[in-house]
Amino acid sequence: MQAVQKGFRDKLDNHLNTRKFFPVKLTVAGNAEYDFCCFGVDSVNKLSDDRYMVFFNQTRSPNGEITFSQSVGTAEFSVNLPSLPNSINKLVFTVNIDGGSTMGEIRSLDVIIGNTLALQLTGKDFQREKAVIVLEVYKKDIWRVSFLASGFNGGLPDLLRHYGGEESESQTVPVQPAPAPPVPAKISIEKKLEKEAPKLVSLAKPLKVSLEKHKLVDVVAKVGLVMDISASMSSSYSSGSVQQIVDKVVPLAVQFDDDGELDFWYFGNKCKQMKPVTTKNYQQTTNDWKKRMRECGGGTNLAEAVDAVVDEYKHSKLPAYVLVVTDGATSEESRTRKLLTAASKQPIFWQFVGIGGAGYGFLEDLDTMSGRYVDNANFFALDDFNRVSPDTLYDRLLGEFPSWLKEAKRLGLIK
Amino acid sequence: MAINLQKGQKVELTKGNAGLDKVLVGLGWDTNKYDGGFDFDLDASAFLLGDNGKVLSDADFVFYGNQKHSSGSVYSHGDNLTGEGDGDDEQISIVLSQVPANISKIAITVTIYDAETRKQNFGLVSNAFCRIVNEASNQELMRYDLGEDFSVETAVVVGELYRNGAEWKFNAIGSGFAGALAALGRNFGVNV
Repeated sequence: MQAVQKGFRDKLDNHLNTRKFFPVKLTVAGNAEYDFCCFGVDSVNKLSDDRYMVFFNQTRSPNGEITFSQSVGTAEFSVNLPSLPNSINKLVFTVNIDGGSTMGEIRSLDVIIGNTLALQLTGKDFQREKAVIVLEVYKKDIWRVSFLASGFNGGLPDLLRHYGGEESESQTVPVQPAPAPPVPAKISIEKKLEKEAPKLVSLAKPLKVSLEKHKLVDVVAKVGLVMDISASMSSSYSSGSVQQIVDKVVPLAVQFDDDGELDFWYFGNKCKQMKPVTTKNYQQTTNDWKKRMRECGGGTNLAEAVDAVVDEYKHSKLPAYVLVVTDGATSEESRTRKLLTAASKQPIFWQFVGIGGAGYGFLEDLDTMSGRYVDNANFFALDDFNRVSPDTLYDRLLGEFPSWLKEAKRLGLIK
Repeated sequence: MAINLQKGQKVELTKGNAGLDKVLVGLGWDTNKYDGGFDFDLDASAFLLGDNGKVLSDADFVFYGNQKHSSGSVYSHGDNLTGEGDGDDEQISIVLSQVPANISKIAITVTIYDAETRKQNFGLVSNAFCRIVNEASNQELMRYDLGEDFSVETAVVVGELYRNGAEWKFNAIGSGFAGALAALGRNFGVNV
């Protein structure tokens, strides 16, 4: 075993056989909870395929090229470089801390690759980092290794941002002056929210204006929210931005739904229905996201979600408005297409929203594909769900719902 | 089109580049991708050397503490403390016609400031390069990407401009040293 320093860099073949499986072992001793991850990134340093984020929640890459096992404070990865797809250019091994502690407070960090190279660091080698790139195995003509041991003070969200694509600085859309709305017929959304969810009352007015504009004031419908809980969404959960999405969708349920309940699903590899979100419990919706992520698995299988939602609403006498929020890159595309086409005879309207990701081609297809009984889906992308003004948001969310309602009525799908 | 140099390659500088007199040596690197830990401060220096590979006097060492050689032939454009931004991070100008006759080569080096305390080395620096530009026309003549050649070294001799008869040539040395600027200085005969 050769002891190396932080910064050590060499051709990997000089130290181990890169044509065979080799282990990468990370051990941290300290008083916090440490999470380990391997990102398989492309030539521009981006995680373009979620399935190559290998960690507690997704312990195996698609072909078993990278596997993960963990005990307290230790992670062991097993890596087989020759079977990786060409698009994977670099494997990044990271450790991050969930909570208030920093890497400066650890007792030790031990890294061993292939039982031949070992790096040992202590808290003195770090400062306030909460996420550290410990080791990179990368391809530059040939496979190389670099013991970077450098990182970010912001923790996992910083790390995901680093490998997840640029965060574009989308401008907020200027708020347009609202036309004076006519008197609504139902109990006003403002009054309901004031009474039941006072924190959301500022959303009442923008929603009301949008309802008027799209002639939806008197519509009664089921409302469902389907949230992507794949691994790449982690930072959106930990930063609270998914909770903010829920906050903005709750008023839609209060407005449309006969019992004011928002039906709620998570989907990863699997889809799970949660208990309905109401004005009483909505603030706790995403509290247990880590547990749910573990249950659902780290992938993005939209077909599972479509299947589950259809099951819930297929016998509904009311129309259902289903909002699906995802960062894209779904598996099982053709099954999703088939299920959604079949669902075009159901009283369900699908609004897909792409957030913070890229590669929405497939979701755009769902919006425009032919062969359906009625156009039952719409798609748009938002870089950040929570950065557009509520006026614009509700306008976009409700934009295509009226034309589907009209068509579904004409064809007898709903009364 | 600039020539891409490999480690150890020696190429003509003035021959074939008629009228080249003022040479700009631009050096760049990426270091601050990560916001944790200390900032990196890399310093470019030039050593004006005699036939024996040593400086003739301590004044022949041009660095952040002595930004201009007494002959006026070699001067640094100033110290960039963080390596932020694209393009050259540090620049050194050399006016070939003004280099004193007893100077036979000029070594260009990069060192990491305070590397030991900050626990830094060239293994943590990526995309380091050196480019040679005709300052009068702003034309890039050659470029040397230092790539993956370095690991735990804290000082690098990037290359040397050297006399070959009446002409000047460039040698892409790219060799690393352990130790700080002081160690490198001693290597070239500076009393530090």
